[in-house]
Amino acid sequence: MTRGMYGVAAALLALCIFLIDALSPIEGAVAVLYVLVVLIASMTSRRGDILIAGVGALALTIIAYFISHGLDNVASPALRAFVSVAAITIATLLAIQNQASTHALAEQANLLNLTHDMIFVRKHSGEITFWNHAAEEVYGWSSSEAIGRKADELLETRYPEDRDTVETTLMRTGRWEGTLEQRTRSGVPIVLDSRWSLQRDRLGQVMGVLETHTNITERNAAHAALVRSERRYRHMFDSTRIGVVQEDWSGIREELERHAALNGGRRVGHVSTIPGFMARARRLVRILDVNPAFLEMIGVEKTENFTQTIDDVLDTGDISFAEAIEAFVRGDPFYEGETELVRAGGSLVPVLFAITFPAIDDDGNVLVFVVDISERKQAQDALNLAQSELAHAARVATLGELTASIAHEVNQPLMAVVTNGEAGMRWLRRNPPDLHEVETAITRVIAEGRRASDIVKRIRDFLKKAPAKQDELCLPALIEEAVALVEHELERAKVDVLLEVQGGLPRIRGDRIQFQQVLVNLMVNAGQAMADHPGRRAIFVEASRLGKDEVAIAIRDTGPGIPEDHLQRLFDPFFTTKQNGMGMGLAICRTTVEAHGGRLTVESTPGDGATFQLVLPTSQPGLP
Amino acid sequence: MIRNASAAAAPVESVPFVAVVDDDPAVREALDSLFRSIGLATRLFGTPADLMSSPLPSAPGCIVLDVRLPGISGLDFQAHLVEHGVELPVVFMTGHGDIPMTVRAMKAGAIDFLAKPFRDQEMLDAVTAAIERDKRRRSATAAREELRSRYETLSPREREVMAHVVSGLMNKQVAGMIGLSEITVKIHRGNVMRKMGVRSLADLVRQAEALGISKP
Repeated sequence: MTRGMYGVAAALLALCIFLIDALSPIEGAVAVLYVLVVLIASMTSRRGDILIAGVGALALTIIAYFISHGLDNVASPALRAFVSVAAITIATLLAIQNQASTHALAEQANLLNLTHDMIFVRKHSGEITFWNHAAEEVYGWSSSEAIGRKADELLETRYPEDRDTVETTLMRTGRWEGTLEQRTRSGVPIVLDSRWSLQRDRLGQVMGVLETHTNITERNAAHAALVRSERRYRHMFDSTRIGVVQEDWSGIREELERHAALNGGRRVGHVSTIPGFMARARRLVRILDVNPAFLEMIGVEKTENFTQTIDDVLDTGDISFAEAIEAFVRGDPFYEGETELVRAGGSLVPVLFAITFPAIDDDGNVLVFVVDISERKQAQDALNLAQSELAHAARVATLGELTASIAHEVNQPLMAVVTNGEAGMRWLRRNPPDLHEVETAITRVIAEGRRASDIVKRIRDFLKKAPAKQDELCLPALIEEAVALVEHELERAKVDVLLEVQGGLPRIRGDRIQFQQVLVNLMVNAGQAMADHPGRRAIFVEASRLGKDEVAIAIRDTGPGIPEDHLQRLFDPFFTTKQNGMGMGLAICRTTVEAHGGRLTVESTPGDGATFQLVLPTSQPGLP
Repeated sequence: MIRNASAAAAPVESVPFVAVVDDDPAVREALDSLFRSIGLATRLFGTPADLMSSPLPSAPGCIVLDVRLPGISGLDFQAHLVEHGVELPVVFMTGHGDIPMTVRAMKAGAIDFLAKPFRDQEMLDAVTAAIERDKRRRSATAAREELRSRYETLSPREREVMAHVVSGLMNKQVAGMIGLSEITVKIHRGNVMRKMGVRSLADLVRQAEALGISKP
């Protein structure tokens, strides 16, 4: 029934009562029936409605009294009217009071409806008497459906302990807390955190039990997943072949922050600028945990025997740690590098590692993944050895092609030495001896002896079978040495060599002999290509800077050029156009250049010479 | 021109000389010292072209040549010299002498072929021999030229008489053949003997052979 319907009913009833009261001859307190009007109005639970009904009823009672009796009859009708007025007033006041308390209760119920927890109230015997919105939503039964049902049966509650124990606890302490399993209307099991409290009246009689439930099904699932995940990662940590080290870098961070504070809050640029930092830093990184793979890698039996800081495992020659700290300072998320670890026996094991740095607000733990690359290193060493053997063989072959001119080149100073010596003897034996001539001759003997030894040294160096070095090399000197090796041969082949080396070229890093080999090879090839060429015979060697971090060396000839179909296969191993060629020269050249981080390319227009271009990185990229 | 044979030989230039052609200055200087130590004059050249464009002493001499020279091979250069009428003997040096090259060089008139490094005595012997040959060639040339100039002073009639006389005819027979009196032939014959500077008929016959005079 709506408010309007209550209003109409109250008004109609009031009209009937007024008509009977004012017009009928009935003697009695008919007006008392207005109390019913007030009660109907109170059904709307509105204070205003009740007041209107009460005041209206009082007014009608008084009007009816004056219509029936006027002002003269005051005895018994007046008494009856007074009783009616009193009854209406009392009913109105009671209705208003009742409305107020109902209103307060409704407010409280609303509060219970606002919470996300499922709250219901049940009698001690189990019948539900209150069921909030959250309970409606989660369990699936509406309030009207739930009320009156027994809670345990409706929800198929399963307790973590005996039901009687729960009851005992509840009765003794007035409270119970625990985790329950219940089922929703659709049969889905849910896990809940449950809190019960017992309500008693003033006499201590149990009125009901308020149960509050929090759905922790998802939280539980997440926790279980976390546990599974932890177990999985622990398993990976223990059984992986990759070494894992958990380190604490907070010491490093504190040190850096302290240093920054000393410098007025400025961020640390290069840690190498902090005096003594690198020496301390190795002892500042504490090792928290290592996995079995890592222990095996460094030849340690048990975790207990293990070391405290990375100073105990890093080789003294390590430079990767400094770079890792630079990356850490820069705020890089990770760093990858290569280093050598000290095994228990003192031997070194080459490893590849990756460090993941935590975010600043994280717990400061750093994970390092370490892979033993001994085998790879051995394979690489074997490959390098094979390559250097091959390169050596190619150098021998190249010089073999130059034997005639080398013999001549060595013979010249030797012949000068011998002849000067003999001439000196003759000047000495003359009568009188010509000492000035003797001195001149001996001076020349010394100079030519040196020259011969320089030539022999140059050739011996070129033929030396030494492991590749990583030296800082000066490009102009490198080119001049290479040219010196082939100059004579090219001169005999009537080929001009023209150098154009840009001034102030940056240095390059690598093996001097290997670079020489590349240049010698390219120049000898160019010379041979022009052997039967009728036109001009010249080789231009041009060195220049290319961009910021590279240098280019171009070797250009004026020969017949390279046919299109040869160009494609020029750098292939065993590709040769020479009668007795091995076909390894250019293949080795390219491998050598690429091993130094450079590239070797060729361009040729048939009939118009060929140009080989070598591009190499400078030894210190970024420097002007 | 490389040399002028008819130029008057100054005393200084009568010292025999060696022209050294080698592209290596150290080798040139060493040879220079060696040759000078035995009193020879030297001329040093880096390339054959340098030698061709410089005047050489008129004294007897020889050329010492590296067989592999920049620009032109020593053997080609030798041929080139011959073409240009330079008759100086050539001594070859080589760092890597091979048989075909040696044969070619010797056929072309090389005195010697020395492999570097050689003993000083070998080189000096070769050079001395070359200079001796040059001297002999020079004196032979000089004698032939003197004979030729003497012959040129003869009158046509005297040359005619000489030709008949050296062929073994008696004065009377000569007179009969050319229609002169015997006494006139005798006078011509006397002039011939005087102008040619010979005393006996035998000497005159040898000169005629050298001059290639045959019976008219």
